[in-house]
Amino acid sequence: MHHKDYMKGLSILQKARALREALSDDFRDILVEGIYTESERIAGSVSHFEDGERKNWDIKIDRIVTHPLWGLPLMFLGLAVVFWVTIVGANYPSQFLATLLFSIGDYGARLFEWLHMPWWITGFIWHGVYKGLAWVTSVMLPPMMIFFPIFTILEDLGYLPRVAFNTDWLFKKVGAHGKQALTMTMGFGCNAAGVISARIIESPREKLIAILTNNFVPCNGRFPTLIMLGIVFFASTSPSSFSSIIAAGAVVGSVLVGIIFTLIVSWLLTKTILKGEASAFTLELPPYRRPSIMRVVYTSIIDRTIFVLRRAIIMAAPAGGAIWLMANIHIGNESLVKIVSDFLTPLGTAIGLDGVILLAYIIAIPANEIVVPTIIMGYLGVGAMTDLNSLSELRHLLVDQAGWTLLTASCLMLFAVLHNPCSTTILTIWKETRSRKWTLISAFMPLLIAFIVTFIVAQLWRLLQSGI
Amino acid sequence: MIIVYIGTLFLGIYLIVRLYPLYRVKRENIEDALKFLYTSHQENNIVTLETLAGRLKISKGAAIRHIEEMTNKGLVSMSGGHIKLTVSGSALGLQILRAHRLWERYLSDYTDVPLQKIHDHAEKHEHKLKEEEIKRLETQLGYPKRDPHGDIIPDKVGEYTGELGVSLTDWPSNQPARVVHIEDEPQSIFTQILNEGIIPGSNLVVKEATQTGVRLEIEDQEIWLVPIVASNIYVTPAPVREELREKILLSDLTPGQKARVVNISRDIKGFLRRRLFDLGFTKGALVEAALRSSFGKGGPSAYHIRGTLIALRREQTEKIYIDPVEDESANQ
Amino acid sequence: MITNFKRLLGQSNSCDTCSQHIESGGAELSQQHYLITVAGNPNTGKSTLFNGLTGLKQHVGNWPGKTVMRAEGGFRYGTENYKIVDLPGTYSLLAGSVEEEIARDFILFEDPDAVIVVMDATAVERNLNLTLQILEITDHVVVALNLMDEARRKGITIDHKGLSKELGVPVIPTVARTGEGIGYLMQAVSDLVEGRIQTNPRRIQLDHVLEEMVNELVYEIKKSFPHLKNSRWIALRLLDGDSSIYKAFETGEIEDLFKKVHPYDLKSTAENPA
Repeated sequence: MHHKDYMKGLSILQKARALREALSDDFRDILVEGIYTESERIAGSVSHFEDGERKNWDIKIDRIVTHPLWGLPLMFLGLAVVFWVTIVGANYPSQFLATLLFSIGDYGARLFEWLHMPWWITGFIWHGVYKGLAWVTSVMLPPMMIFFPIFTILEDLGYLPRVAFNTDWLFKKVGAHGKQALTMTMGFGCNAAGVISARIIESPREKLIAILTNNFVPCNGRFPTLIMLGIVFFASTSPSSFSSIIAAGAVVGSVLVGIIFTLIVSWLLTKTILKGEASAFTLELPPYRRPSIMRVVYTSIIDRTIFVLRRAIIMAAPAGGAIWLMANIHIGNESLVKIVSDFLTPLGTAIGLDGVILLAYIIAIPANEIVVPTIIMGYLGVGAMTDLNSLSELRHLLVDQAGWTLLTASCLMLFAVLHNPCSTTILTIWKETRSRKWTLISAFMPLLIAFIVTFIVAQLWRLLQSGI
Repeated sequence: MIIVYIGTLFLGIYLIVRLYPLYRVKRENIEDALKFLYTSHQENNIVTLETLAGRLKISKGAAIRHIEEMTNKGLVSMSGGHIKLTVSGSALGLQILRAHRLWERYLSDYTDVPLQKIHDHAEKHEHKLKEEEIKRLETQLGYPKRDPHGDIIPDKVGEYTGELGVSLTDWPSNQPARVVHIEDEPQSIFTQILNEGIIPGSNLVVKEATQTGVRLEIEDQEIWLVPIVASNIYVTPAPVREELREKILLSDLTPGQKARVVNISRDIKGFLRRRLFDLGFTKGALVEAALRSSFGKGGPSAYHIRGTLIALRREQTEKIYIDPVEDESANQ
Repeated sequence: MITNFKRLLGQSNSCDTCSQHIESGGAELSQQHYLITVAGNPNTGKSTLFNGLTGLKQHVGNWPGKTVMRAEGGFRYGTENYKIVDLPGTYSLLAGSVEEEIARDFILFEDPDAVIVVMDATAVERNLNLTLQILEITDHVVVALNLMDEARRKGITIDHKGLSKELGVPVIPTVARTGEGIGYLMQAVSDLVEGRIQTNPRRIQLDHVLEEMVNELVYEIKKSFPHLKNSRWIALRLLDGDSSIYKAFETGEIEDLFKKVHPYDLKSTAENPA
């Protein structure tokens, strides 16, 4: 029966081929034209237009936000305002959460002591695992609760396609796709989501470029590092009212660095392993729509905040435990943290960082969110109970005890923006590309770039310093 | 010292990699030979040792080695100084030819490789495609009838369907013609033809044909082609439907201006062409320029078309022909 | 798991306009059910409608072998269970992008009991392009004329009854965001799948040369494959060189494709009354 079908099918195909030969090449054009002529007629007969209350609204807004001159600056200003609101708004809730969670931790530890638990159980659970959790929650939850709803509103309004419209000329220049801007905005939330959103790019070459460079957009998990650095180093000397503005500026600066590297690396890829011209693209700029409050709340809180926080917590707990163990397992007189970080110190110093920071980045491969807490726990070591909920204490720890300088802060900022994607993102890249080669490149290319850039910065900095 | 050592090592590896192929007959060359034999057979041309060597740009000695290799594999047989394809040789030749032309079609429809370079890419890639992949490619491309310069793509049993067209030098004057095929070799002439703006699908009218050349009109422009160039262009009668293109482009509109779409240039092919049609850029559609983005000509522009705001890059808007609408009342 | 990140929020269903009640996620998919699907252009509120019907109980994953998100869910309306699949938003079914292939193959080969085509009331002309193409493939269509609130704000009024007459299928004005008209929409879907109403979809008009060619092919197809329902559409696609249709003929799978029970179902729909 199958064979008969097969023959029947082939004879029909032959017929179709013969008929097609008689058709002009315009067949498709004529067909679609016919459908649209029909559509026009039907639409004309059933619709009636009069001046509505907001007939020209959209275009008026668009004239402003996509203005040839101010469109881009307006976009960056908007971004800066979003970060500023996030930083200012998250400040008090963060402190409150930190005080609350750390005092719970203290009581928990005391309870365990009162129960005569062995010290290492108390330490592992309360000073390791719990402390990691408490830090991640208090540092990440408030900014996310502010950033994600704003981001979702912008997304719902229909602003993001306008971003792609404004920045397309840049991407065209480097041989990338105009919709890469959209994947980058998704990357702010989470690089894995950014990688998935690269599906909207049809050309395989440009899709790969978007996937490989998405990592250069600092995701939500890396904001805490950037914000902390901004506040501790670039804002601590200014009056407190300015500090949040400077911190927001520092984050925007890092984002700019990320964008510049995205463009440079896209261009390099276009010229080397992913050769080709920028392909054509069509982009719909949908009408502005009033965001649905329920949807914004749901998407930003449940889908995004809870999702990211859950992932961070899952990663933070073992990392907190691991760093505590490393701080408390001694080989000879030295703790494991010290041994490993001492081992990493020469490399760390060469790129303007130190061994503890590199160790933190190794432990934080599963999730970037835990870099800062790991660094702090790495410095504090055994059982140090300092509640680091005030920035001055943090500054004291990093600058006076750990010897951080402006160079350390700058290099850490660069490293945070440029280094390898987290393991979730790498896994997502594998799922999307199904290619071992591109997954490996996506993991190691940024890491290499991060090392090279920080190395150059550190060496130049020191050269200039010694010259003075 | 170490540098010298490493240098010698690399040089050695380089020489081995570079020179090794000279000692063996490459599969690619065999396949090229079969493809040449196949097309020659289709055109009833006789292939001898000399023509094969000339075509493949190899010495006669090398050509002999090729023929030996092919004979051993049962792909060709010699009769009276002519090289003949066996059944399996013919099948392989057809496969390579199909791979070549389908890959050209793919490059033209789905990538940005310019038409002049498509042939060279396909020359390499035709050897990499397996039979299964060729079939899948053909399916994916929607069973195209011709490659981008108009050569007919035979189906998998070697059936050619389609008109080959008449050489432009033999075409009567003042009869609208459509280009169906342009010889892609020699490359210099092919490039020259493309530079004149002639591609398969172009419509033209021969104004005058003499011994010294052909004067023709294409897109309101008059051009002059010498016979050797003109004879490489093959044409068939132009469909009656086709109208002359307007010279005004969508990119000429400034925000606020309206126009009706006349047509989309044939330079826009494949997926993008279909996408533009589906977005409503069909003949007669009313389009209004709305936004122009940053940095003058570098950025995209957005147009209202059929109730939606669509952004396009200049590369596309320069290839959409329009008829400006002055009157506001034309709106609805 | 990561796709949750992009999942959209479902509205609570307002069904105050209808006599029957939509119970989101109420349908256990192992029970017998009708298979329906939502198709439409991007940015028409298609997903909002989908979420409104299914609520939070959805399955989110990829289409088999494709990196395109696929969402499906179930709900109960009246006494019947429905399984609903959200198709990717497309402008057409002709251009051949992965999304269009998925949408087209689903409507063609899975033969859903009803296709809800979501149209943007502010851009009827554009949306009709896709609608007319879908009407060419299947008779089981209900049009949701969505974003009626936006249309009102822009001063556009649509004669939905006239549109329904033109298209030959029910057209229900809706505002998926608030739930307005969803009750009527589901009533129409229910009427359609239960056979209480018959549709008479409009076919695309072709010029007579083309029409003749199509008829010639339709004749051949009907002769060899009398079971095929959409022979006219298949003929059109063959003339256009549609790859998946060609492939189906080449492998002889064309008939099997239409006999196939819904492969995405958890259970065979043999006892399905449709």
